[in-house]
Parts: sequence; C-alpha cells; structure tokens
Amino acid sequence: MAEGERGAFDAPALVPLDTAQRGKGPFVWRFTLLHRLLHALAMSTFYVLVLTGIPIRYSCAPFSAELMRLWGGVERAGLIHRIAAGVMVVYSVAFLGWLSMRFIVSKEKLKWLRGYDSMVPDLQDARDFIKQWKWYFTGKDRPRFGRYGYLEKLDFFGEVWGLIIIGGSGIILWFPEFFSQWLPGWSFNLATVFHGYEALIAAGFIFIVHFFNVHLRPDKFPLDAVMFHGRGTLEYMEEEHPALVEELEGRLDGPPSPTAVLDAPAPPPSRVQTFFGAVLGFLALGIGVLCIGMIIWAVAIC
Amino acid sequence: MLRPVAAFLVVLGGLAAGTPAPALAQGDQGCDLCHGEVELLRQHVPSLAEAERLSVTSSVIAASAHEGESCASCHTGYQRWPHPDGGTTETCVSCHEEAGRLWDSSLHAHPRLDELDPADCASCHGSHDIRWVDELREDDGIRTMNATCVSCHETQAMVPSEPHGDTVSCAGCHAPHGTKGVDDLTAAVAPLAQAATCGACHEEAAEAFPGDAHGAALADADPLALDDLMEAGAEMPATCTSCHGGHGMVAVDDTASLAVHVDACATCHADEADRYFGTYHGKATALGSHVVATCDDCHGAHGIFASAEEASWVHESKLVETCGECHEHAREAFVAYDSHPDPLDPDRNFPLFVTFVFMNALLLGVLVVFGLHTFLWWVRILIDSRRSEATEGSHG
Repeated sequence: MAEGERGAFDAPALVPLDTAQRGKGPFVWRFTLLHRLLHALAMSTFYVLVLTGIPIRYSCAPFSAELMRLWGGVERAGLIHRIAAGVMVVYSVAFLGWLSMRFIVSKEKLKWLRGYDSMVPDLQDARDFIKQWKWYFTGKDRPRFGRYGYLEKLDFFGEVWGLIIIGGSGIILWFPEFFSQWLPGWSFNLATVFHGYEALIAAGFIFIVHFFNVHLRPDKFPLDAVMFHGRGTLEYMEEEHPALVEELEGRLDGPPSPTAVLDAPAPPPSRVQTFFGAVLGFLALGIGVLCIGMIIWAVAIC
Repeated sequence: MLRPVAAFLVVLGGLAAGTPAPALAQGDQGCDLCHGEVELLRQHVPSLAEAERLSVTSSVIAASAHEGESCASCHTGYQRWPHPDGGTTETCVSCHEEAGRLWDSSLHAHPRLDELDPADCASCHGSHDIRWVDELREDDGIRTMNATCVSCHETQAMVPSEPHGDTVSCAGCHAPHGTKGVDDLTAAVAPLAQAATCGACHEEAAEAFPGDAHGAALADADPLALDDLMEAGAEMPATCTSCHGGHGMVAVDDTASLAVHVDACATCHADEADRYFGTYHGKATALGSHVVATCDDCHGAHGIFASAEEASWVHESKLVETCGECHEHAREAFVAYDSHPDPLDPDRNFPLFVTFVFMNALLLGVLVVFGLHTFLWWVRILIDSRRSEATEGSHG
C-alpha cells in the first residue's frame, strides 16, 4: 500500500497509541522481517505453552478444568504443549545457529561482542544496571542504552536459559523411561520442580518485567508496536537507544528503504500495519494479563 | 342378582341363630358371599373406602403366595358371627417364626422416634396379595419392593443408572427382616458385616478383603471401640462402602469414578493424597484424565498391603511390574521416582528439598529484584513528568 493511501483498515486513531510512532524525526528500521517473524513465533508458542501449562501446574484452581476442556482434554493439551515446545526448540536452535554462522563469517567480530551494536552481555550492562538504580533515586545520569539494553539482553538470554532448563526438564519428563537408563529416580521429581518453577519465572519475567518495560511504562503506555511493524521515529529511538543513535549520525539522510534494513531510514508504517500492530499487541497484552491473573488467583487459593 | 340375596339370607340366618358359622360350611366361598360385594359391605360400614378395603375375595389369596391357605388361617375367630372386633387375630409369626424373631430385633419393630409407627409385616408385604419370594427376586419384584421401602425412606431411593439401581433390592444389603440402623454395629451394612453382605454377590472382592491392610485393621479393631467410633461419627477402618459408597454408588469402570475413588481414599489418607495431587498423575486425574494412575492402579483395590509387605503391589520387588503396567520400559531407576513427593521434607528426598528451596528462592529473587526495578522505574517517571509539568506551568 502506497504512503498516504486509505485502506480497508483505516486506523489513524490507533497511531497515537503506538509509542514507536510518537515524536519527531524520520522513521528508522529497528527490526528486520526475520526478527519480527521470530518474535511472533516466540510469542505464540510461549502463549500456547503457558496456557496449556498453567492448568496442570494449578490443577487445583477452579478455572483449570474449564481451560483443559477448552483444549480438548488433558491428553490433547499435553500433545499441543509438546508440539509448541518442539516448534520453539526448532526456531531457537535454528536462530542461534544462524547467529553463530554470521558471527563466524563476520569480519567485525569485536562489534558483535562489545559496544553499542552488541547483543552479548558485558560489564557495561552491569554498570548500566547500577546506573539505572541510581537514576531511580537521584533522577540523574540515566544509562544510555545501545541497540540492546540489559533488559533486552536479559529477555533474549532468559529465553535461551529457559529453553535449556525448561526444555531439558521437559524432555526428561516426556521420556522418563528412556532417561532412567542414566538418571536416578529422584531426578524426575527434580525435573518437575525445575520445569514448573523455571516456567513460572519465565512467565513472571515476560508478563511483568517485559510488558512493563516495553508497553506499560507511563512514558510508553499503552503499546509499543515496534516489534510488529519494525520501525520507530528518531525521537523514539533517541529516547530508548541513545548510544545507538549517536552512531547513526549522518546515516539517516537517504531515501526511506521499503524493506527492513537495520538502521536505515524507513517509511512510516502503513495504516494496515498500524492496525494489525495494535490488534496483535493489545491481544497479546490482554492474554498475558489474563495469564498473570490466573496465576495470582491460583496461588491465592491453592 | 342372586348372590346379594343369598348373602342377605346368610346374614339373616346368622342373626337369627346366634353364633353359628354360616360361612364356614362353605369355606372361603362363604367369605366371598359378603366380602365380594362392595355394595353389600357399604350398607354396613360408614364409608365407601372402608367397604372397598373390606372387599377381598378368595381368588386374591389363591393368586398370592398364600395360595391354598383359607381366610381363617390368618383371620381365626372370624368364622363366628358377628365377627369379633379388631383385625387379624392370628399373627404371621405363627408360621413365619424366624422372620418374626428377626423383625422383633429390627428398627422397624422398635423405631427410635416415638412419633414413628412400627413397620409391620403388612407395611412391606401387603396383606392379601402377598407375592412369592421368587417373584420378588425378579427385576419387577425388586422395583416393587424398593418402591415400598422408598415410600417411607423417601430420600434413600437409588437411581436406575447406579450399579445397584433396579438390580439389587434394599433388603439385599439391609437384611430383609432384621433391618438395623446403619450406625448399628449389628446391622448387615455395619463395617464388620459388609464383607459378608456385599460378598454374597461380590465373592472375589470379599475373599481378598479380610486379608489385606483394611480388612486386618477392621479385624483387629475392638468392637467396643468401633461402637464408640461409630457413635462419635468418626473414621472407621475402611470397608466396602468406605471406598465404593452405598446409595449413589459409582461403577468402578465409570470414568467419573476416578476422582470419586481418589477422594474416598483421601478421606483417610489425606497427606498421601495431597502429595499425589502434587504429581502429574494427580494433576491430570484432577483435570479429568482417565489415563493416568490413580490410587488403585498402583496399590490395588481389595488386596491392599503396606508397601513394606511383600504382598503389596508397591513393595520394592513389585514396583517394576506395577509401574510397568503403564510405563512399558520401567526399570529400577525409573520406579525409584517418588510418586508422593514432599518437597518440604529433607529426610524423605533431600535433592528434591534442595531444588525446591533453590527454585523458590530464585523465583522470589527475580520477582523482588525486577518487581522493584519495575516499580521504581514507574515512580521515577511519574516524579520526572510532574516536575516537567510544574516547570512548564511556571513558564506558562
């Protein structure tokens, strides 16, 4: 759809809701199509895993039997849980493999490991973390994040860590007869605890920390759809990733790139993209809040 | 037209002659002369209903279990005219001695509450159209008999869909003549008698039960102590109805029975049940799965023994076989899984205890650190935006 054209999903009213479209300056590409597809996959498989897992973990809660019936019974829910887990393992391993390949062939290996462009946690993240807490109390010297702040690195590596712990314990619980060739009996009791608690940590981190940091902070409320349409205004980028924007000086003057190329100037999201970004975002937020509500409810009564 | 006239003549003759036996000479046919004629009876009694009650012919008796008996077998003295006051002068007991003896010991003969009338032979059996015992054992007879009991015991009706509904009579379990209260230790449904009562049909279960842990606990229990327990309404050693229930029973092959049965075990084994519900077996069962193991899948049902005993299905030596019923390649390490784990008990399962404490600490740590991280961020932004508003305000 060409710029300015009115489509079937005309939704200009949704634009001010989207943090990434607020403020001045040209749009900048932040996420490529691959990033966004992976995020959509991660989001949907995570929701399936959480919504099939919650009723088993909190089988004592009144909503659990109902939720299980919606899935078509315990066995069906178990199958869906395993399929979603399988999909998650496949795209996660594939993406990690792809990243490793790109790192290996890269001529700027240091750029991958350090500085404004890096996704690898380093000492700067520890310093930023401390700075952030100081900023809470003094209101001065706010940390200036690069492409990825420590919370974003935590989101990514938290998922990798979760995949290892939850996926590992999950596969042990899936095939206990097989693993009992090497593992002692109590390891299956341990696997249950690891699986359930690590999943709870993951859900808590996503639905509380990630949601707040990305969408619900008063300065970003109610939605940041950058992960859905892939771009944000320069002002938005300066606010969220000042150390990255510093490096982009002079590189944003060219014509907007219609395809998502990192750090290139971008056309504003079309109205269709804005519409679906908002719908997807609010849907995901709603389900997440529902999940947290169910968990709190269950913890309170079980 | 002729019979009323004949009856009238008989009555007249009787009145004239004092106390002869006008009907006796003709046997029961003589009784029928009057008791077969409602119109005639109506002239001698105050209401039509009473006349109808008195209207009984010998053909009714001939069709009943008392076929071959005469009216006078029960109504002795009634060959005289006028009939003596009162109802049946000779009781059923003169023939049915055993039934009478049992009845005299029953709650029907001596109700606990003064306002209740005793239920006598006729209350259940009727009077003239008494049915053969064999007839009562058929489905139709059982339904009739149970309907009779339910006419007083209104809340105790069994529904046809339950396993005993319409196929077992009330008397089948509650003893036909010596019916006692369910809280009476001498009742047929009392704990000590259940194995025999239910065992009359369920032989296999009844044979296994007395030897197992529940049966032994019951056998070892002091009957006086049982009586006290019963009076106190306290938990009794488990018998048939403890697990299966009585009225409103659920068939063991009914999928709805899984949770019911676990709950039945849980009434005594609450701690074990709690820990079972902490495992996948318990959680899936609670959510309606019919596939995963419930209590009896591992422990058995009628031959339950403590796990330390070799006869137990969950004795160390049997676990591979028992778990192997579902888990095909179960082996030693596999069956060492703790199926009733208590993560808070370090003595029972130390690695589990450590893991549980660690994961709770990790969860709490993440939630506290990042909860605060989130909350303080929110506060900081609010403070900053207030300040900038105030600054703008002062400029404006």
